[in-house]
Parts: sequence; C-alpha cells; structure tokens
Amino acid sequence: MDYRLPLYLQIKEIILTQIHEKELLPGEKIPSEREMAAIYGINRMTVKRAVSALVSEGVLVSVHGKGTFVATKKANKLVYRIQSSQKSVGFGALLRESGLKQNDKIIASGRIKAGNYLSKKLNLNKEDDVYVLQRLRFADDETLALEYCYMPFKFVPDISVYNFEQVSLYAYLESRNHLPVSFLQSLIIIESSYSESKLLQIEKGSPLYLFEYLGSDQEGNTIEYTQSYLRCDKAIFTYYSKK
Amino acid sequence: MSVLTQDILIANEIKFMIENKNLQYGSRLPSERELSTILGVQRLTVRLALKILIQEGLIYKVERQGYFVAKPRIKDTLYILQSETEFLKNSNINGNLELVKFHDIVANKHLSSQMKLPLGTKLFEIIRLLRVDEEPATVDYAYIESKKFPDFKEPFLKERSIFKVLKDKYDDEVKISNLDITVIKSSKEVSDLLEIEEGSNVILQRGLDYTEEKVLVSYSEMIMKPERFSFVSHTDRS
Repeated sequence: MDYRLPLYLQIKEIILTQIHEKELLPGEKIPSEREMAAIYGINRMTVKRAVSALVSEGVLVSVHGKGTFVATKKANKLVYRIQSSQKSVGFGALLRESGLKQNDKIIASGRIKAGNYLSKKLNLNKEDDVYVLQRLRFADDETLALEYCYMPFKFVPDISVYNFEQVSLYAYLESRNHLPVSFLQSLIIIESSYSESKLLQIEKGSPLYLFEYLGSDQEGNTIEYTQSYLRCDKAIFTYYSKK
Repeated sequence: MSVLTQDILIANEIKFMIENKNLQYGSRLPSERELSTILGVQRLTVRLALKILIQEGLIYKVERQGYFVAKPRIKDTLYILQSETEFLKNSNINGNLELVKFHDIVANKHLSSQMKLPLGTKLFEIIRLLRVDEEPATVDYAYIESKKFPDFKEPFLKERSIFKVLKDKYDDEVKISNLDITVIKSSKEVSDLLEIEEGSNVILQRGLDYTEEKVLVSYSEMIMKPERFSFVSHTDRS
C-alpha cells in the first residue's frame, strides 16, 4: 500500500485485507473506532470515514448501540479451505464458521449390501451391511450440495434411531467413538445430471464439484466414504502449497 | 425396496470392474447386454449406470461401438508446491510446455486487485500451453512485476520454469502459494488454445506465489480442462 494515500483509504484497505485474509470473519465485530484510532495514532473521524465507506459498500454492517460487524454476504461464495491439519471438518462446521444458516434434508437412508466397490473402499466383506445417508444440504435456505455418505453398519448399529436433519452426523459418530479424524480427499469437476439438477434446483449440465473423501477414526477404521456433489456457483476451494 | 436407485450401485460395481481388471485407456467394456447378464440387472439400469461413469469422466461412448475406458486423470497433490516443469517431471506424464506469448502489459483492474498493485503497474504476462499426450490440457497465465525482475527475457524460460528463473537470476525463491479452485466459462483465447467450444466449463486455479518473507513474487491463472484433472489431498483433525 502506498503510504501517500489518504489515511482513510489506507484504513479501508487494512480492514479489507483483514477480511480477505480471514483475520476478521463474516459476522465478527470489528474493533471500535476509538480503538482503531488509538492503534494507528490517527483521528477518530478518519476511522469513521473509512468505516462509513465500507458500510455503504455493504462490506460492514453497523448495528446501533452494538458496534460494526463484517457483513455475512450472501452473494459471496462459500470458502472451503483444505488444509493438512484443521480443527473442524465438514460442511456443518464450515457453514457455522461462515455465519450461514444450515439445513439438511434426508433424501434416502438405510442399509444396503456393501458389494464389491464399497467393500473395497470401507474395508469390508462383500456381504457386510453399509448404512447410506443421502442428504441435500442447504446454506441460508439455498441448495448447496447433494451428499451420499456410506458407513459400515457394524460401527453405527443404532444409527437409524437418529434424525440427521436435527442431529449432526459427526456429533453422533463422536459419541460412538468413531469420529473420523483423518481424511483422504479427491476433487473433480463434472456436469450435473438430470437427477442432481432436479434436487439441487439448478440447470442440467451446470458445473458441480464432486468432492469425495474417506474418513477414518482414531483407531484407523474407515468410517465413512462420502461423495459430495457441490454447486460450483456456491463454493470455492482454497489451500496453501509449500516447498 | 432399495434405499438408493439401482443405477448408483451398479455404477459402483462397474467402477470396481474397471479398477479390479486394471482396464487401461481405450479398453472396451463389455456391452450393455453382457453387463446386464454379468451384474444381473436390467439393461436400462446398466445404461443409466454407464451414464454416471461417463459423467465422472471414467468412460466414454462411441456410437455403435460401445463404451471405452477414458484417459486417467492427472493427479494434482494440493499441498506440494512445484513449478509446472517439476510437476511434469514428477507426475510421470508425457507432457510439454509451450510458450504461447511473452509480452509487456499493465495491470488492469482485475490484476491490480489480485496482485494488490496500483492500476497500470507494468507487468510481464507469460502465457504457456501445457500439452499432455499431445493434447492441450492447461493454459497457464503467469504475471510478474517488470520493475522487480528487470531484463526478464523470453529465452530464460527455455528448459526452465518461471520459479527457477526467479530463483536463479533474481534470488527470489517461491516458498508458499495461496491457491484456489473454481469453475468459469472459457474465453475465446482459452477455447482456441484448448481446442474446446467457447463458453465451456473450465477449471480456474489461481495462485499467489510468495517468498519466505511473504513478498508476492508472481500470480498465475491456470485454466484447466475439467476432465483431465483431479485434486487430491489429506486432512487430519488437530
């Protein structure tokens, strides 16, 4: 940033950078004008000018008597960060962190025979049972993803008791000591078929991310094989590569 | 009653068949009729299952000849930083990188906001085309600031990656890149280079490349053919 720029523009740039770099998250309260004036040793009116500009641009939202917050922009794409190590995993956590309302609709659920393909993925025998959960996932009442989650039935014998429109699947798995802690992921881009388009309420042939992962628990048991068909217009994947 | 529609389960079984028999690119699958006998399901179900595999780019259909195994995707391992040149060497693919254009430009609004540089900053734009097995797979647009890399010349890139030139000639080593992946519609220029229809869905992989000290060295936009790539990664809960 050019130091000769007007101070209020520089403050604006600082706040934008903090939002861009996720130091400030959607819905988070930004420091007060007084605090920022003190940090940068500038006049409070200068800070006010920068903040007002960002409020009128829709980047910040000012709530009377409470302070100024980073806007939770609907138009913005959900940022799916892929890291080698992270605290929370999965859509539920991601949506919560992004300040978006989360909803799931169960399309299908029940037991199937593993067969050749799933038995190989989940380290089972062909004849073993697999529990499948097909969910349509919503963010702020708009469709986000269609997800197929396959789990060895032997690890989740009481799963059909729970309604995963209300209960978090990972919370359930954690309570059974089978929380997936290690994931192998692959991502490809495909075009939506008729049936996916209908469920996701998008045009047939729209681009979708097909994000597949295998999750295993602390003991190394493969707990889930998940295929997530995610709308490309709703999300962006981001990551770091290092030497 | 089945929980999922049969086509999904049958698609999985055919996937297993391809993997298990290690069918290579160009191998022909058993016919719809044969598959229906092998798998004990109706022919319509087989056809729907094959449609899923076509959608995932695992197989392709040739009219009146049948279904064939598609080219394997090129695997891009997300956390490993490597130049295009290193990528070609390490991933064991038959690829070559062709320089399409090397010229001076100034930062427009888009580049200025990506690279956080003032509008009009002088840049070098380096456009390269990656061919894999002779077929265009990726167009790579790379940008570096002219002022920071004076006398950067086209011949530097012969047999060498941009990262390597920056390191060898300017002592700026890229240590970390911040990348993202989205899907866009292909522009005219990209479509011509990739030999696809204008407005096709293509992968956009953007990358900001930094030194150890977090100084921006280069910015790149790779436009990739969706059916040729997969991105793989692993995550552990901390």
